[in-house]
Amino acid sequence: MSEMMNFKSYKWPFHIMTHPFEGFEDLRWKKAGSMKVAWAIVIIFFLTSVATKQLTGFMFNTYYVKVFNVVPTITQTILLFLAWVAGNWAVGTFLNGEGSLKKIFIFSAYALVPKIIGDIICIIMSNLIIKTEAVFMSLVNIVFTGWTVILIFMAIKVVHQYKFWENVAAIVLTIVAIVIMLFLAVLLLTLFQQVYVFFLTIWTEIGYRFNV
Amino acid sequence: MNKKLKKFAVIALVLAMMMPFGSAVVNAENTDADEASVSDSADGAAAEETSDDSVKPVTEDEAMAKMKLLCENDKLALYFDETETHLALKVKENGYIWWSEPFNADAAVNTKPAQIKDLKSSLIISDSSNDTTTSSFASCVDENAKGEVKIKEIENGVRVDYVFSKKLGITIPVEYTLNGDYLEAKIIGKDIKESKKDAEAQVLLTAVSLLPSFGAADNTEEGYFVIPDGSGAVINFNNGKDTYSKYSKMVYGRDITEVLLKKEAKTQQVYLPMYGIVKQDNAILAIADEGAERATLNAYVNGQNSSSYNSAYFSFTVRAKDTYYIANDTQNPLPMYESANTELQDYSVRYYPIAKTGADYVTVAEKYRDYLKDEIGVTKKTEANDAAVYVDLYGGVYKETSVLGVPVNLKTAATTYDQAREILAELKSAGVENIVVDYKDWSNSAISQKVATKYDPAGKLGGKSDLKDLREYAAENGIPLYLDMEFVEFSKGGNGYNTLTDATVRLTKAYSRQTAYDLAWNIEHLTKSKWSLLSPVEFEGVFDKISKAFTKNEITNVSLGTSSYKLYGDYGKNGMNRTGMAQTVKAGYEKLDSEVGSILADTANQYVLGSVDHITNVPLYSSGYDIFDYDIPFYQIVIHGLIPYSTTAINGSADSDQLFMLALSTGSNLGYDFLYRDNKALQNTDYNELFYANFAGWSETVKNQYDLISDIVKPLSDQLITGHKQVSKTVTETTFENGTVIVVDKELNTVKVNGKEINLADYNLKGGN
Repeated sequence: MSEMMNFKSYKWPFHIMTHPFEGFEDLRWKKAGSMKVAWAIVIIFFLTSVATKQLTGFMFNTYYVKVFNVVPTITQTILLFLAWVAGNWAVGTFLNGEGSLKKIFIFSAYALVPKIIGDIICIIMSNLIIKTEAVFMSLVNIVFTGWTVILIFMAIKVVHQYKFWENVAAIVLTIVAIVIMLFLAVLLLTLFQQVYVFFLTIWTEIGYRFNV
Repeated sequence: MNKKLKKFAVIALVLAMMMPFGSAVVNAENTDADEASVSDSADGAAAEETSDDSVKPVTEDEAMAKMKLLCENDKLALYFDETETHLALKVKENGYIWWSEPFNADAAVNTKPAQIKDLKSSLIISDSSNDTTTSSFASCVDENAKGEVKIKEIENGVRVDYVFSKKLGITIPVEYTLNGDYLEAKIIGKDIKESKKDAEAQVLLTAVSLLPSFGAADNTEEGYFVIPDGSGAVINFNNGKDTYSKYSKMVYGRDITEVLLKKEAKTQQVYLPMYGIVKQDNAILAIADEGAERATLNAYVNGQNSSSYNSAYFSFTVRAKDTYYIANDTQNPLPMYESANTELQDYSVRYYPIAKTGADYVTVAEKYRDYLKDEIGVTKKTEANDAAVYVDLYGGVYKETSVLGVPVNLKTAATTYDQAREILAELKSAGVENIVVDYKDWSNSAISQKVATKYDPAGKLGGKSDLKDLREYAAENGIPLYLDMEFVEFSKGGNGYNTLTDATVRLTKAYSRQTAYDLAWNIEHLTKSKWSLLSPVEFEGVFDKISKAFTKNEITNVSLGTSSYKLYGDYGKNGMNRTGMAQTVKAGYEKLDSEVGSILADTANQYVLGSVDHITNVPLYSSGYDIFDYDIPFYQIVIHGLIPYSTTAINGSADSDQLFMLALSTGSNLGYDFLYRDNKALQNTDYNELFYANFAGWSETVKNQYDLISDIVKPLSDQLITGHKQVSKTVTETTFENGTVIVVDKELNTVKVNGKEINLADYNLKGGN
């Protein structure tokens, strides 16, 4: 117990990894969450995602493009994570959760660590193994991703102090919230496009009338 | 009650059974009537056919008896027949007579009466009232045509005003005059009357064919047409190709302002507004003089036009046409014509008869050369004992690259200035003495696809200093370096020009947005962006700017991109039609020729031939239409010895062996496309098609080819071609001015110069099969 008092901020993610069911409670009581570490984890998550797309062995790399575009990767990692945090916080307001935005961010970020480690292991493995050994890569993937899912579940449960089924509802509603955010973004883009087309049509019509 | 009902039923039944008999009677009456009418028309058809057979062919003397002598000079005599407005042109040297319409048209076999009428016509017109079917109204004097002619004799000839029927209200005046060694037929544009121009049911003159059966050959004559399609082709009379389409191609290429929905088949262009007719020991050269920019060259053989005659002629587009699709509905095209108020210009064709035993296409070429020298201002630009390797270098292009992860279109170098110097140095050290370089996409403007008017070396390619080094190197080693200025096609605004105000506008008032086409489906490419054409109204300013920029930087060599062969019209409010553009381009080239110095053209239309010093990428093939019998290097025969020229890039040719043989047989210099960068780096760019152009490893082959070319072609550089013969399907024999005879066998890949066989293996080149 006493070592826990003296954990450096970067040691916490590993403590949480190895103690999925108590780790977050400890973090909460110790109020030891650090934004810096959380941001670092998110950035590393993004970098790992880029690395997966570029450095996976050719036998297993399904992401082949002629010109690498970083924008979808940013959207799939950082933006998705931020959307999760914001959605969860919004859902928390009407499910009587106790978590603040900052806390949700930190707790969720700490939960991502196994996934990152799993991805790195997979990248290294994919460059070494042969096609028939692909099942080991799947194993690593499933184990570490499952681990992360459990951690996220626990993170949300602890930060909002939910009961079990309340937690399940919160997570489902968070996913719904993310979908709504996506829908609104698409709607906004379409509306901008309609405005643009409207003005372009007027301009073209004027052009035809006055023989530009 | 029962009985009454029964009775009633029986009567009704009986009546019902009578009905079929009744209708049979009625039908019988109908069929009788039908049969009667059918037999009438059968009689009528029979009457038409017998009218053909009943006309006996007349002899030429009998036909001449009807003609009246109009005028003559020491070479030619012109005869005219007032009743049918026919002309006969007599060549005094051997008494041969060229007829404007065949004198035996009435007795033509296998020819429909409508076609006979066309054969006897001096003009065939198309008008805007029938634009789905271009119905033509002939002008020959015929009671059924409801037209008339007004004849007036003028100095050296006659003027005929053809008045077409009241329904059309069109009058076209044509002047036929004898001038020195040619007959000129000229339509006087300003006197063309269109009385229904402003009527409610508007009728506009849209096209006119001038003397469409001049010198036509019947089904017994032997001879051929010389068509300047690509390098040139021959159509033999009565060649039996009646199941194929007639030949019809616009001179100087179609008007590219009209953007087609689908990509058209890849064909060669007609660079010269002329054609030739060769008969036994006689030939005639026909040149479209005024209105050549609006001319279409047509040719048909026995059986193609429902007639047994073979003819070639020019037709002129009086009003250009474009198609508009309302709301992009491609099923309902709406044709639009040039304005009714366009000022109509003159259209003229000159006919130069040549009497020579054994006349062939070389005879026609020689006469055409005289025309080029006298009327177009072509002078001898070749030097003796001079052969060169013509290299097209490609500077840079836009490529989609990832910058910090974001895909961006960046200027990518394909050949920097230093690399260009390296290529030239390597060629020189391998032993290639003479090189002529056309450096394309060398400037910032060119790579960015802006209108190129400035001297702006691209930073990506090395900047001002590297280019200066390259130019100095070229000057020291006697390599003419031509910097290419492309200003016809552009996709971005810059240098004072933008796509909003300076782009060409179509007849439909929409901007002419040039599109790339999908390779697989030939429809508009879905992702590649479109580009614009610079309006020819701006050309004068462009030429001025280029001249100033080049003289300021002391550059004496310039190449002007696609302006040497692309021709189109801007139909916007302050536009300029094709004729105007040709005149502007011609004047611009002349200006640059005198102010800057030397001009290199990548294929050239007739109107710039007077000012260019080199022509690259001259095609060695024609479009290969089915109606053609075989290709001839007509363009080469005309300009060899006058203007130095090169073939298309031999390293890009699908059949480089055959191209090499054809080049040898015409004494042509070879052309190459080179760039420095590996072609893998240039994938998915506009340089995709230059996959063959990577220079590494070529210098050896270039040297070997150059050595052979040097030995054979060099001594002939300033010699005109005086004879060319297809000895057999694969063997051609070319004779030059100084007597050298080159015999080339395309199949066996052998060359004989003056009877002595050259072994290609001596030059480390592949020979034999």
